[in-house]
This record gives sequence, C-alpha cells and structure tokens, in this order.
Amino acid sequence: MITINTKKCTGCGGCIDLCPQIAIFMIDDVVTVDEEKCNECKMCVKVCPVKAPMEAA
Amino acid sequence: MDAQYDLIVAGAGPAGLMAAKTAAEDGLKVALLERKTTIAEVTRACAMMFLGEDDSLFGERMYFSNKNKKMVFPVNGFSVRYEGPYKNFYGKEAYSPDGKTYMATEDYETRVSKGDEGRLSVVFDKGALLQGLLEEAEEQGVDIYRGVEVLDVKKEGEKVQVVGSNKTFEAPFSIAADGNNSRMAQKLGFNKERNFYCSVGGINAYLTGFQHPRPLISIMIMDWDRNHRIPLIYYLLPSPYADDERMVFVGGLADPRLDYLSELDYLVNEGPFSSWFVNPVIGKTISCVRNFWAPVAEPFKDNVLLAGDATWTQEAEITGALLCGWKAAHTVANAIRLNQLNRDGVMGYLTWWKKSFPEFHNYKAFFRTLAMMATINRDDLNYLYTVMQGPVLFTLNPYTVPQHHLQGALPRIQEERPELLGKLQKMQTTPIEETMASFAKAGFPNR
Repeated sequence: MITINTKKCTGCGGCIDLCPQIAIFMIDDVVTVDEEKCNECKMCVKVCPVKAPMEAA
Repeated sequence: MDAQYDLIVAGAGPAGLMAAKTAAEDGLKVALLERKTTIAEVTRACAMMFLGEDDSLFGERMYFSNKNKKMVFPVNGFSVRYEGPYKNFYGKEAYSPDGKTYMATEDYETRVSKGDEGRLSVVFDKGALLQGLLEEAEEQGVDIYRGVEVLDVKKEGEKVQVVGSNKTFEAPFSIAADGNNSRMAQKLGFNKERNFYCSVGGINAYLTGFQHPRPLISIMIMDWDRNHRIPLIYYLLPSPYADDERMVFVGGLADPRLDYLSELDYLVNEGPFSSWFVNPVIGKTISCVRNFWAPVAEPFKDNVLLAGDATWTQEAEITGALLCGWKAAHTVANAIRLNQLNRDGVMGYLTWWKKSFPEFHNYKAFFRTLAMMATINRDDLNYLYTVMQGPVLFTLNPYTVPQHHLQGALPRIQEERPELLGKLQKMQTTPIEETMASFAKAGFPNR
C-alpha cells in the first residue's frame, strides 16, 4: 500500500498527473492515494521530487 | 443531467484563469475546474519572472508597466493587472561547476543605475498574479469548481463532455489549460502522436542570507550530482520580497536516485558556492515534475482547444500562457456567436498559435543545454569555461542559445582537448532526439 507523507509533500501534483491509474487525488488540498484504484506500480515513488510517497506495510 | 455551459476551462493557472475571465467578459457562461481549493497559492515550482521584455517571445513584446501595475501585451493588444511585489534585475551570470570561472552580461553597474530602463527583467509573485485574475473571473460570474480532478474528456454528439471527479460538465467547447503534464492532452491522444524527450523534476526554495557582489542578477550553474552523475541545473534568482533573499531552483532529470533537497543543502552549506550563503534560512519549498514533449501539431481536437503549457514543449511560460488563454477565449466566444461549433469556428486560434509558437521559435533550441549535458561531463564543462569567450547575451529568451562562446575557442580545444572537440562536433551533427535518447529512456511518459 502506498501512502503520501504529508509532511514532505509540497502539493505540486506531479504524481497525480503521471499516475497511470488516476489513483491519486487532491482532497481539500491534501494529496491522497485511492487504495482501491492503486495497483502499486510505484510511478508516484519514482517521479516525486521530494520523496513523499512511500510504501506502507 | 450534466452541468451545461458555453465553455469548460480545465485548470486555474495563468492560462486557465485568463481564458475563463476573458470568455466571461465576452458574455459566455463559463465553468472553471481546478483540483486545488487555494487557487492563488502557488504549490508548483516556477521561475516566477516575466520573460520577454528583452526580446520578442511568442510573437509578443510583453513588458511590465510599473506605473500602471500591468503586464502589457502591445502586439496582441491587451493587458493584465499585476499588483503584487516585484524586483528588477539587471543581468545574468553562468558559473562553472567548480565555481572558479563565470561568464556574465555586460555593464551591471550602469544598468542598475538606469533602473527600469536598464533592467533585463522582473521577478514577481505568481500567487498575486493568479489572485488578481481569480478576482476578475469571480466578478465576471465564472462558476469556479474547486477540488475537481478531470478524469476524462470526450466528444458526446455535438458537445464536449468533461468528466470531473464529482460532476460531469458539457459545453460546445472546452479549453485544456491543465499544464505541462496535461491529462486532457493525454486523454485526447496527443501524446501518442508526439515525440517524448525526457522527464525533469526540481524544487524551488526561498533562502535568506544571500551575499554576492552583484545581487540583482540571475545566476545559472550546470552541474551533475556527485553520486550518480545525473544532470542538474541550479538557478539563483533575486526575490521580490527581500534584498538578501534568493529564490533557488534545483532541477534535473527526474530520477528516483536524485534527492533535490540534499543537492540544495550541498549547494548552500558545502559546495563551491556556499560562501554566498551566510546563515541561510530556507523558507517555503515547492516542487515540480514535468514531461517534455514535442509541441502538438495543432492545439485542437474534438472541440477542445489546448492552451499554455499543454500545447508546447517545455514551458509556454507565464507570457505564453496568458497569450493562449486570452486568444483561445475570444476565439471560442466568436465561434459561439457565429454558431460555428467546430474546427472552422476556432481556426483563428489555430493559425494564431502556429504563427506565435512553432513557426516563431525553434523549440528544439531549448534542448541544446540538455543535449550538451548528455554529451560532456563535469570536467569537460569546467575546462570549457576556461576557454569560452565573450559576454553572455542580454536576453532571457530560452530559444536564443548563443553559439559564439565556443566558436572562438575551437582552435584551442582542438589543440588541448581533441577528444572533447570530437564529442562537441558529433553533437552538432546528430539529431537532438538521438543525443538525448538515454534521457528519454529514463523518463516517465504519460502516453
């Protein structure tokens, strides 16, 4: 499961743009992964300039 | 029942806000969709300077009128209110990665003494620009939908249907102003038809404690990261808020191995330029990641007009974004008035865009810096700085890349570093796509 570290996230939206599943949304300005849509391809982990998305157990 | 409008604008950046406000002024019923709720708060890294005062950019000669607090676009004939803070700057300097040599524009002191007349350009607050446009859009009755993600776009019968995350919208036309990684462009198939160059990422941060003999200049440093030799570029720009503050941009190829924050820390605290920063305090840091595509062949498909960064290869920049938003909106208003709800109805925008963008600039010139970085290494660049000649051209036009610095030095490079000359000559005769092939392969294209 991928979650976004909101302390690191700057809200640029790059992961939202480049997520192949459209599984990441900005909800009240907080970047959030939709667990049901996410297939854990980790594109967000690769593209994030500040390393905010992380794999959680 | 889907929400019915005359025009749906996707994205509330400079292009989208300008388009929405202009279309509403022309009498259209406009919906503006934006994923953020805080539209005027900038959360995506951006140079935040006005480009184009020094040179013709996108067929315009935009300048900032301090007195009237307006960005004036005299060629196209309109202006945009800007009431935020700004600061003039008077030149640019480029440093070798080791910090030992640099090249600069001429006459810094004279230009500073001339004030507005002598400036190269102006740094400003993008949030204040967006706030001004947002207020005008609201006054004109634009329906602004905040917190909406655009999931899909398609032609449904005579109309464009834009599927938002919690509502679907319909209109005769839509304007895609959703930026460099445009999902509208992706969903309409544009990215299957154009070349992909690379993905780049970066951060900007405001830092206090900056000390430099010529503070009111833009500084550029090309470098490679110390661990993986991934190309990096630093820009150090004046800040519109305080004299001892800098806006530092650290960018490079988007690569999971690269940590921009630690590269910024190295620049400020350890590297060859750290003496410029005295007890620096790092303020708000924002980031970006974006894909470099070739421009679209035509910014139109299925009654969607593409505007700003969504059309272009790298950045249409604030100037290009405002121009596109303005022109696209007027063109749509005219097509609706004439009830010409198809490509013929918006031909005015399509011919204008071709004339102002791909026919006006060679977009591949923008990639020359990256092609150079794909060709040479850090030692080569440090060496080249010791032999390059001539002042830096007094322009911010990213499509004007001077060749003369190296020209005069070629005999010396031939003598001292023949293998480097060979690499440079090969780069000159190789298509840029081929030189940058490894960068494209390492990227993340949203086809």
